[in-house]
Amino acid sequence: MLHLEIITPDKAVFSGEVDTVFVPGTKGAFQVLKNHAPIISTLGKGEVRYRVASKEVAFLVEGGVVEVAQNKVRVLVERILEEA
Amino acid sequence: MASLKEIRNRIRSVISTQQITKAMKMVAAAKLRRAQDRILRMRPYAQSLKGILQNLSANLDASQIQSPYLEERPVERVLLIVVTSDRGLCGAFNNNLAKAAQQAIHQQYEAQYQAGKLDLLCIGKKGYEYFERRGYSVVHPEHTDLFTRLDFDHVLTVGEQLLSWYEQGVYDRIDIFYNEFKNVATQIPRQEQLLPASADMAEDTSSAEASMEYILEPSAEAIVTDLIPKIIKIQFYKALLESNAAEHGARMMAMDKATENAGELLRELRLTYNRTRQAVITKEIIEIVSGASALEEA
Repeated sequence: MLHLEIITPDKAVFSGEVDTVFVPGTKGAFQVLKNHAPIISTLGKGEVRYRVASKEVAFLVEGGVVEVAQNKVRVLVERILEEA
Repeated sequence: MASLKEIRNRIRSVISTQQITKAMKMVAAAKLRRAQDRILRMRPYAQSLKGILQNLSANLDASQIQSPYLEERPVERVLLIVVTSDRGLCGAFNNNLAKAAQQAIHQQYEAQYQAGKLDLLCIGKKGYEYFERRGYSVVHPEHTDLFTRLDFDHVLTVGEQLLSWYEQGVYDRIDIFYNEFKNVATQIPRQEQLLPASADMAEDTSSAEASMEYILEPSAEAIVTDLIPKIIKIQFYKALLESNAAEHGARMMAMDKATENAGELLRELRLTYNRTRQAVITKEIIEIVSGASALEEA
């Protein structure tokens, strides 16, 4: 399991255990699974999606940063455009 | 001496004033709690952002970081952002800050002021009125009411405008004045440089933990360049949140003091009321007694 946090300056949008996360990296979208190598990447406009117990939730964002280390994923975005 | 009726009226009016100040204090306390809550919720974002930046810049030479927001130019045009409140009845909160800003204008930025190249962006009606009345060049009044709906989304538009002004060279320096929330009773007027961002905000490497080997996409430089405007925006947002919390703290203290003063006034008024009442009764008794004794003597 991965621990995912999606944070905006106003609040923590999501915090909890998930199976996998998809993020829209500026150099191309990528998926984070358990034991992913540590990575810091900027985000472009696109969907941040996470899956937990085969249920998928997505947020539309327009840029931000993601940090992955030791099975912790931290997505920092300025605003969530819409929850899909 | 005032008549009994007059004193009674005064007592009644002081009581209703006291009720109002007491209610305002309660409201300010509730709003203060919410304002502090906001600061707490903003912190994880700000700290993570700073953490990443420190982590990255530990391995970077400062000269490698290219950002239009770091570039220092000779200071010709200055924008001062003055953050005050929309409403009064909060003690010296607005006045102290306006004075601090005014002092900076006439010392640090006197040359630019004389040349007419100093603009003020007032957030909060009180500061706007203060500087407008004194004939300073106050720009963009549409941002004055930022506090009526204070959230990051709203602040973001203003923040982005500041960035683009700096980037396009509309201003060579942007400072922000706000009240820092130290605790409920204490507000500290502060002046902070917003743009150009000081390069040392990325250079505080002493606290950077043993940095892990990260994969960096697209590159360390690109990420840092991307982060700098975000950090400036959060610095701006933080100043607004601090000022908001400080305002409610100041109002709470002012209203607490007012309630206390009203209580003291009431005590005094009640004492005078009772004294006057007694004096009237005594006078009546004397009149009756002396009347009776006059009859007896006759």
